[in-house]
Amino acid sequence: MPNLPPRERSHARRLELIVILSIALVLIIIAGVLASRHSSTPGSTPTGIAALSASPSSVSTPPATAVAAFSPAAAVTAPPGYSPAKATAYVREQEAHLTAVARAPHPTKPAYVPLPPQTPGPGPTMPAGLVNHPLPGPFSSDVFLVRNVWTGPVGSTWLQVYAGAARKVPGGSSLGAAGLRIYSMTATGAAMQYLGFFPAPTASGPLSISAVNGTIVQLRTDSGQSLAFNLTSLQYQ
Amino acid sequence: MRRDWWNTDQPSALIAGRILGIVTLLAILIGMARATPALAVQAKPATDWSFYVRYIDPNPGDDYPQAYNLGCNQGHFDASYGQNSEVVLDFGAQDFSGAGGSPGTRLTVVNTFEDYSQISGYAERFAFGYYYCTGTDTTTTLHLGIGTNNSTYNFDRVDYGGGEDWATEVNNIANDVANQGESSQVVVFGASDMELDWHDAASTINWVNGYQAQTSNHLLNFGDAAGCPPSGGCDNQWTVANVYYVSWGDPIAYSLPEIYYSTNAQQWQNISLYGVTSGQSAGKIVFDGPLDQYDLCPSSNTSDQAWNQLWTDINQDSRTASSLTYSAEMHTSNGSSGGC
Repeated sequence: MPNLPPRERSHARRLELIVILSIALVLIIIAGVLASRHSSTPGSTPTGIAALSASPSSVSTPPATAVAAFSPAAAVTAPPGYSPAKATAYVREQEAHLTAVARAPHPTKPAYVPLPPQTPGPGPTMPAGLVNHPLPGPFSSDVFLVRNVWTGPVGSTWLQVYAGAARKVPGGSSLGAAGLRIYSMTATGAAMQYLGFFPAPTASGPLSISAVNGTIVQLRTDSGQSLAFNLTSLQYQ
Repeated sequence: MRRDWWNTDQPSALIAGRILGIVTLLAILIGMARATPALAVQAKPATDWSFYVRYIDPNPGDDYPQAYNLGCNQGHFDASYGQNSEVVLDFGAQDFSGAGGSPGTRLTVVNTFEDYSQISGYAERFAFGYYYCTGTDTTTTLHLGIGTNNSTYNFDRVDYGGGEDWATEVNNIANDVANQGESSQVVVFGASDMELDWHDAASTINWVNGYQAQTSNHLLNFGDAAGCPPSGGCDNQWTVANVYYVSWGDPIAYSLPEIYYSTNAQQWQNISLYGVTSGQSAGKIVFDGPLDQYDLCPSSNTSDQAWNQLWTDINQDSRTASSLTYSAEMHTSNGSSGGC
């Protein structure tokens, strides 16, 4: 800047400094973003507990650490992402497993021969009656909160009646309509069919079954309200 | 007249201001890109089938053909594709209704009783089917969860003693599998469908502690987080801390959470985040993968949806980011469904 007057030269130097600093700032931000993405994006390394072996997503690659499972001398390391405490527990379990494998016999396997499909027997008759616990049903707790369950014969079929309340949103904490979810099946639980959700006409809060007399289900709500449901007509009375 | 880039008629302050403005805009754009990174979802592996066991053949002389065939199918598949699998056999709630009050379980939904010898026979036959049907392949591995849940039928077994009892059953199955020479390809561990509405947190935690006291085989929670944040407060007076403990905080606990609906993935990300923000020594949860139930309930997530939702939700926050290993889906052992 030899031809510039001192005042302009000073401005120019200031400008030059700003440009250089700006470029440096941009480069630093870009470098930071790249580093951050690299660290927050999971790699392809398997991390599941059960992983003595490689990721199942790499189907064409032999599972590298599964090979290590055959060698008791191989060092066990926890998958990435495990905290030191969790890694210690993981390594302890895997070492115990490898020791057991090393001690176990290793019989030669015969070649794979598929067996014809088997038809299981009919199974035993289901226990009938009222269970005053929230048993697992053929649906998720995310959609219906169970209070109790009745199972038994009605005419020529068996019914399973779950009393409780539906959730407003699957998995959410807010409950919607109180009611019954009813399934039909054979005495062994086969040929199960969902007959539907039967919302109580006037209940507030989840329903519970208090008794079943013949084909009439006596119901109550948390607030003490009583209702009855006919298992033949599938209607509230 | 030559005009150097700094030799302009515009005031220097104006030029400097423009440069600073451009730099600021760039910084904001880059910052936005950082806040909402375009995450590429990890590829989902083939989905492994887990089973609600609905029937165990009462005649052991038949060698549990259903269990053998289910295990054989998995072994043949794994060997063909060179991949490992994680399968849970869910035998239902623990109970004491055998002859003389002997222990066993009530199979889910049908509620028929099976004693521990039947459960062992079924699980070991599944393991044998896997091992045998991998044929010449000796590297693929089945991770087999011996599953129960925290519900109660006749007798409340959700306590410390119930956990010890289940651990002993798991140990027996693991030992038998090892003695049969199958442990190089079959890893046995305990599993429980721990659901918040089926039992209170204190009893369930006692059960986990009892289990841990009797075995080095880990425990896989394949349960739910019903009602938990961000959807509200966890059901049945459970807390996020309770769910975290039985799913990861306990040293032997691992997690294959139910991701049946999109809310579930948010709930589990939040539970994992609790491990980080509350300074738990186990830190974030490294999930084995998502569990779906599409085969039983077509209105719920497919395996692809469950995988994408869980992966996306945990990886949108670097504090909970991790990869997943397995994709699992519940089925019934006899192929029955029933709607949902």
